[in-house]
Amino acid sequence: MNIFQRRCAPWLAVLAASALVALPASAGETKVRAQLAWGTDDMKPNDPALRELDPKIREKFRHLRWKNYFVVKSETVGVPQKDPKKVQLSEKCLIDVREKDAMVEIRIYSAKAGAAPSLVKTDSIAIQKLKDGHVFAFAGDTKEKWDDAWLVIVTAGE
Amino acid sequence: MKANFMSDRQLLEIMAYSDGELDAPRRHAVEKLIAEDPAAAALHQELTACSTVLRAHEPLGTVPETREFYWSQIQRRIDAAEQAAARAKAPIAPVFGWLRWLAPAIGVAAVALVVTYQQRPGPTILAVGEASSMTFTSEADGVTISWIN
Repeated sequence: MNIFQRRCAPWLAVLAASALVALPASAGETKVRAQLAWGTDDMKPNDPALRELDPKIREKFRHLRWKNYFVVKSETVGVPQKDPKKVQLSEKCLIDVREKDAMVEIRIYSAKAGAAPSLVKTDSIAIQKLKDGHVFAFAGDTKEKWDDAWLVIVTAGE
Repeated sequence: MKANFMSDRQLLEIMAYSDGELDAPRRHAVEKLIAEDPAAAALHQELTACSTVLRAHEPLGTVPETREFYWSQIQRRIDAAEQAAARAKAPIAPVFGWLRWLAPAIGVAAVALVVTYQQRPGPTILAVGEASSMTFTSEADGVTISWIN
């Protein structure tokens, strides 16, 4: 080994190690699908924008009491490892997601026009669990209509 | 999400209905719910049964002493309390007089501090204000639901 090789070897080793560490992060960014859904006992309103929730996901909510679930908005996003990715699901509902320790951290905010969104709840779920088909949801009573519920459903993205 | 996955609001409405605390429109809404939802009907029935049992078996308080002895005990405690109040009103040594102002001053300062921090906008306050929730997980069904109250 000549003097050039001896001097360059440590730098090459560091570069190779850095590439190995960086590769998984850039190669396969986790994606999630966030859906804002509405649980009700009423029939489907005459609104073409609303569609029924996927029956496979609907079946997972069999413990909940509502008869019908309609998707108001659905969006698939990448889950960044640094700055959280915001997803505006309605005028009043916003979430952000980020990857943290092999988990997807999900924060839900209440949004109001002209005011900063206020954090409502933070939760997280293992990425592997999502990839295995586990469904995560924030849910609660709707304030506008008695006896109905809202759900923010997070599943693995396509 | 709660028992049989009724909402908090529904549970509270059924409890209030069972206690006869609802006005006519809300009462009709709960009656409709009870008529249509077996879980709601079961909860109402259980609450009514509990209430009946509690009323029927409420223990009667009995005083073992004679009435005169019982009241004499109360009179003695009133006398002791009055003497303690009189001692508290006795003049305080001038050296420690300023201490009387210290406790209220600390109280006012604490309230001012709380009000100041509550009015300050920013992410810290938002983090403190996270809502309470209840988490339901079914590994068999592959679902986790965080129910926000």
